[in-house]
Amino acid sequence: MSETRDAGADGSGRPPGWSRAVEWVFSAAAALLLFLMMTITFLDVLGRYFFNHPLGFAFEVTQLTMAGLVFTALPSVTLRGQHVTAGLFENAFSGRLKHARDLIVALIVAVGCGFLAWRLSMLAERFMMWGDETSVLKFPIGLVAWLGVGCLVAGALAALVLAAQALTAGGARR
Amino acid sequence: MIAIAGFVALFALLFFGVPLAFALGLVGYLGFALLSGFKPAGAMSAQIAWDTVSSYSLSVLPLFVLMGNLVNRAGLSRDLYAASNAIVGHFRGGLAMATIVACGGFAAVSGSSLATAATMSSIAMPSMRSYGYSPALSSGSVAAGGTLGILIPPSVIMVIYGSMTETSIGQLFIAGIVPGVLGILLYALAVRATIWFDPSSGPAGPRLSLGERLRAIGQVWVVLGLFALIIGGIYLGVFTATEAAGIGAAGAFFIALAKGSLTIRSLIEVLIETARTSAMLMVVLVGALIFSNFVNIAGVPSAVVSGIEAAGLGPTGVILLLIVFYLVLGCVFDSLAMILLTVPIFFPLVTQLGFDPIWFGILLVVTVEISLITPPIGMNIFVIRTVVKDLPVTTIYRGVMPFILADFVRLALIVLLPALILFLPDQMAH
Repeated sequence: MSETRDAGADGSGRPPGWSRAVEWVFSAAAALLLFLMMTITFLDVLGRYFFNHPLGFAFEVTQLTMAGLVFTALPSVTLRGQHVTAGLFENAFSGRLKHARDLIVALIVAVGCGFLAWRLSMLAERFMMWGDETSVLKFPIGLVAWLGVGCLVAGALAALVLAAQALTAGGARR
Repeated sequence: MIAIAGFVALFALLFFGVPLAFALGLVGYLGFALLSGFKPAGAMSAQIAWDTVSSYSLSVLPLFVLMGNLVNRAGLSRDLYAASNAIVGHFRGGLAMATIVACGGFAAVSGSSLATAATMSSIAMPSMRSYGYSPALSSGSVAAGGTLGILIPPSVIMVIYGSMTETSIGQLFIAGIVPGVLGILLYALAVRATIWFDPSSGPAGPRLSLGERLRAIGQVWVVLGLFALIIGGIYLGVFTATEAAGIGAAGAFFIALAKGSLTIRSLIEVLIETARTSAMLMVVLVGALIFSNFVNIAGVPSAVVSGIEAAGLGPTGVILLLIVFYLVLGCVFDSLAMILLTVPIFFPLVTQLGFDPIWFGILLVVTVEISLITPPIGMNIFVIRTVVKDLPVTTIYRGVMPFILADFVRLALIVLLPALILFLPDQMAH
């Protein structure tokens, strides 16, 4: 199901150090949100059945941590070239053709992330303007949407790092 | 017309190696834009992305993936194999049957077939080799057993199907139990049949004493208990699928802690890995939903429905045609990709013909399972190849043949006896 293309394993080199440091920050945030989501769901059920006192905000926290963890994990998935592919003929390309292909694919991913960041920012702005917030904790939903915008931009940058790598790797062969 | 152009463009992008999510999203967005304008298309894409990632019901995905990863980190896959071995290992072909049973057990905490095959091949293959099992039988049993991962709940594919078709994820999970157990039994029969033709391919292992058996089973009862708790809870309506997933993940966390196999460092690793897998799946789902919106406004489902009606195929004819279609498509396509591409088109057709959405979901999963082990592209087989490098693909394909036959028997049972699938979910408390 989840066939992955490891960008680092095919000789095109590892992403530069600074990008991996940034990746770690995003990943750590994702890890934290996931752990929070697990804890809240668990405590909510525990509270409901054993103490007759559910948390009340479990539903909305689950929704927002879900959005947060998917967004924050996205740059890392992109940087590692782990996006799921169809598994058709990925290995049909080799040599310079492969580098050209990698470059184009990375650019498509970058444009896709960038475009979605732009459209999501419009949505986020609307959330902020209308003051949309969660029903129990009154947490502004727009903030999470803006986090998503930031992560999508980071995802686009990660794809550009891959594009630059494909470019230098292709250049080095000439 | 534009729909056909869309499909051609999609296949070209996929062939080129563009990630599934981006190929689907791009074609979906452009197609939608050409039909109803760029502004609505952009707004639609952003709205879908937001609604999908902030979906409460989809949070079962990261939580169940986390549960599987934690259980795996606790070394429980090894224990599961040891326990299964203690029960059936002394029969002829017993180690292969133990592999199947252990795969079923692992599937009960993992929602992915590849994870099941990868984990089990590194554990069961060396053991079967040392007892002189033929490479064909041992690799075949791991590849086939691995397919149980997406059928026995929890299941990633079922979550995706459920969210695309607005079918209850809890009911889908419950519906997967009977065909999953049936799969284990039929695979065990396939092992017996292989042994019957060639007794030397799977000699009997040593018989363990009762004490040793109980000890081996004692190692895994916590995991089985956890599975029983979450599935029982969903079945009885005590908690939702998401809550069950939260309990499962937390339970796996405590099990791993108690086993002493969790450090702060490894916990962070597991969490990050899980978040990445979830993001990967969610992004693909967003792309598929954008594409599905395009397919819908292009009128593809209704065109397919009227086309089928004109062709005069009865409902059964349509189902048989779909099965053949999926089996052929499955030869070249990844299972997730297949579901994402075809469900928006065929789901309306199937429900229009009066079939149950849950039954169709299970049929789809079982059919897609088969595609994981059929030549020329069977993902499970590639996974085994990456773990056991010196094994020729042809050997694995030979070993997998009896299991494919068993799968066809199961498929026939599911088509002929829908009650087999629907009985349990129909009993569920709401």
